[in-house]
Amino acid sequence: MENEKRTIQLELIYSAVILLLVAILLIASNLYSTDLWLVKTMIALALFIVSAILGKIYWSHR
Amino acid sequence: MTLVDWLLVLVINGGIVLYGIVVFRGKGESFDWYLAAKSMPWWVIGLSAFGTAVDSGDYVSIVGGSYELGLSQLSSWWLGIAVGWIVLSFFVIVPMYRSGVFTNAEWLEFRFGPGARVIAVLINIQSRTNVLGNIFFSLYLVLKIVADIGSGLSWMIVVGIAITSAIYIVRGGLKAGVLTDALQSIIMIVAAFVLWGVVWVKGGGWTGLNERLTAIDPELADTLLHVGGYSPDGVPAIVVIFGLIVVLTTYAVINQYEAIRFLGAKSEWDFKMAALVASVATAICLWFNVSLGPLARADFPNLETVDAAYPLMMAKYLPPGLIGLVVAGLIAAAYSTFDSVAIGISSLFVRDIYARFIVRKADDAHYTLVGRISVPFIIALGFVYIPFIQEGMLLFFLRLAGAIAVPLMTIILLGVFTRVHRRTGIFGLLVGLTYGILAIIADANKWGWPVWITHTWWTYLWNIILPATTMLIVSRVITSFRGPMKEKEYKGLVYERHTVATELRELMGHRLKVLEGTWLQKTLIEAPINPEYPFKVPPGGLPWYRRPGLLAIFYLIIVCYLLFVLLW
Repeated sequence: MENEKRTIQLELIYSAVILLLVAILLIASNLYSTDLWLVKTMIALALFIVSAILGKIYWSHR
Repeated sequence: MTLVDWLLVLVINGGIVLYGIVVFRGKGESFDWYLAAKSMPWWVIGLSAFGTAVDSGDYVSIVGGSYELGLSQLSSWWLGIAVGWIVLSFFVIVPMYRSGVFTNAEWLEFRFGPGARVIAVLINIQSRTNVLGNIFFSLYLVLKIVADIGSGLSWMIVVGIAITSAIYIVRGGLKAGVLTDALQSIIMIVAAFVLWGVVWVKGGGWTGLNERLTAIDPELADTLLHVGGYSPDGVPAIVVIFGLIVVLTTYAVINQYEAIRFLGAKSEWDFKMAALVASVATAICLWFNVSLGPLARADFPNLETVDAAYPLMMAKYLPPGLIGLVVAGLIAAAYSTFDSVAIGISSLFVRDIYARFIVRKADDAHYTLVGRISVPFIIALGFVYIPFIQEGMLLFFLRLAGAIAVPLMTIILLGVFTRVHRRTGIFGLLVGLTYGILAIIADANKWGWPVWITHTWWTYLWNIILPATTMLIVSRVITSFRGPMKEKEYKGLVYERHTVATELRELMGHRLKVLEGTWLQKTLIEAPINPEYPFKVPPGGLPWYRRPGLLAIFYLIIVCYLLFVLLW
C-alpha cells in the first residue's frame, strides 16, 4: 500500500516536470521562428495548467 | 530540425521510456510478464490498442496511401478496425479469456489442432515483423527529410529507438507496454491534430482543397474526397471498400499483439469497453491522417515516392517547436507498436513454439526468461523487410494481408461462431493460403488470370468465401463418416453468452494429452478466474453509458452514416 502510494506520488511529480519542460521548450521555440507563435503558446499554456494541477495534487498528498 | 525540436523529442519520448524502465519491473512470473496479471482497466487497454494499431508507419503510409486512394481509407479506420475490435472483444476473446489461454494460437490448437496453431504463429510473425519493417522505414524517411540528416545517422536513431523499446519491455512485460502505450497514444493524437490543423487552415479548408485538386485534374477531387471515389480497373468501388473494411477487421481479429491486451483485462466488461475507447481514439486520429493525403496531393501532385508526402508536409508547414512535437508523436507511435509486437510475438514464440514443441517441462521462470531474451530478436527481424518496401508501404502490406491474414481470420470466426469439426481448420487455412499466394504470383508474372481472381481487393472477398466454404463442406463430410463431435469437445472453445469458468480450468488442463505434466498445462489449470464485471451490477441493470453493447451500436450507426451517406 505504502509502495503504491509512493509510486503514484512519483508519477504525479514526474509527469508535472515533463509537461513543464515541454511547455518551456515550446515557448523557447519562438526564438527560432515566430511563425504560428499563438498556436505554440496556447499549447504551452495548456501544458502549464495541467502541470500545475498535477503539482498541486502532489503537494497536497505529501 | 532545430535544437529545441530535438530536445522536445528527447524530453517527451525519453520521459515515457524512462518511466517504462524505472517504474515497471516484472516479478519474474509468466502470468505477470505476459498478461500483466490480468489487472488492466478498460481505458488503458483501449488507448493501448489504439496506440498499437496506429504506428509511425501508419502515419506515413496512410498519408501516402490516401494520396492515391483518397478518403476511401476512412472505411478501414472508422469502420473496419472498429468492427474487428468489437467482434474481438464481444465474441472472439470471450472463450479465450475464460479458458485461461495466453495466446490466440493456443486457443486455435484446442479448437483446430496443432497445424492451425503453428500456421497462425507463422502468419502473425510474418505480418507483424512486416509492420516493424514499415515503421523502421517510415521513421528513417521522416528523419531524413524533416530533420535533414544523413542516411547513416537516420538509421542509427531508428535502431536506438528499437533498442530502448526492447529494454522496457524486457523489464516490465505487458504492463510496461500497455501503460506506456496509453501515454504515447495521447502524444500521437496531439501530433496528428497539430499537423492537420496547420495544413487545413493554411490550405483554405475543405473548399480550398476542392479547388486546388480540381485545378490539377477536374476529376481528382471526386476521386479523392469521396469514400466511394476510388475504384481501379475491374474492381467496383464497393469491392474496394469491402477490402478496406476486411483488412482491418482481420487485423484486430487475428493479431496476438492486440489479443494479449484484451486478455490482460481485469474483467470481461473492461475489454468490451476498451474496444470502444480504441475505436473512438482511432477514428479521431485517423481522420487527421487520412485527410492529409488529399491535402498533400494538392501541394505535391507528382510525387514519385508517395510515402514521402507526410514528411514533406511537415517540412513545408511546421515551424520549429511544432516540428519537434509532431516528430515526437511519430516516434511515440513507433514505440507503442514496437513494444506491442515484441510482447505479442514473444508470447507466441514461447507458448506456441518453444514450450509446445522444443522445451516442454521447464519451470515458469525459464519460460519468462526465454520470452525476455526473444524480444530483441523479434524487433531485429523487422529490418529484413526494408529492401521490399520502397515502392509504397501500404500497397505492399495490403497485398500480403489479403493473401495470408484473411484466411486465418476466417477460420477463427468459424471456430468461435460455428460448430465446424476440429479437423477442418487446417483445410480452410491451406485453401486460403494457396489461393492467396497463387493470386500474388499470377498477378506479378502477368499470367493473364482475370482481375476478379488476382487483384488485391478481390482476394479479400475470395479469402473469406473459399476457406469458409471448404471448412463447412469438409466438416459435413467428416461428420457423415465419424459422427458429430461431442458437446464437451466444444465447451469453452466456442462463443457462449455465459460459461461457468471454474469448470473450464480442469477441462482445459486435461484436454490435450500432449500437454500432460508441462508448464503449459500448469498455467492453464492455475490461471485465475476474473469476473464478468469489475463492480456490482445494480438490480435495474447498468445505465446506458456503462453498457458496451449499446455504445458499440451507437458508434457503428454514426460511422456508417458518415461513410456511406455524408462522405460517400
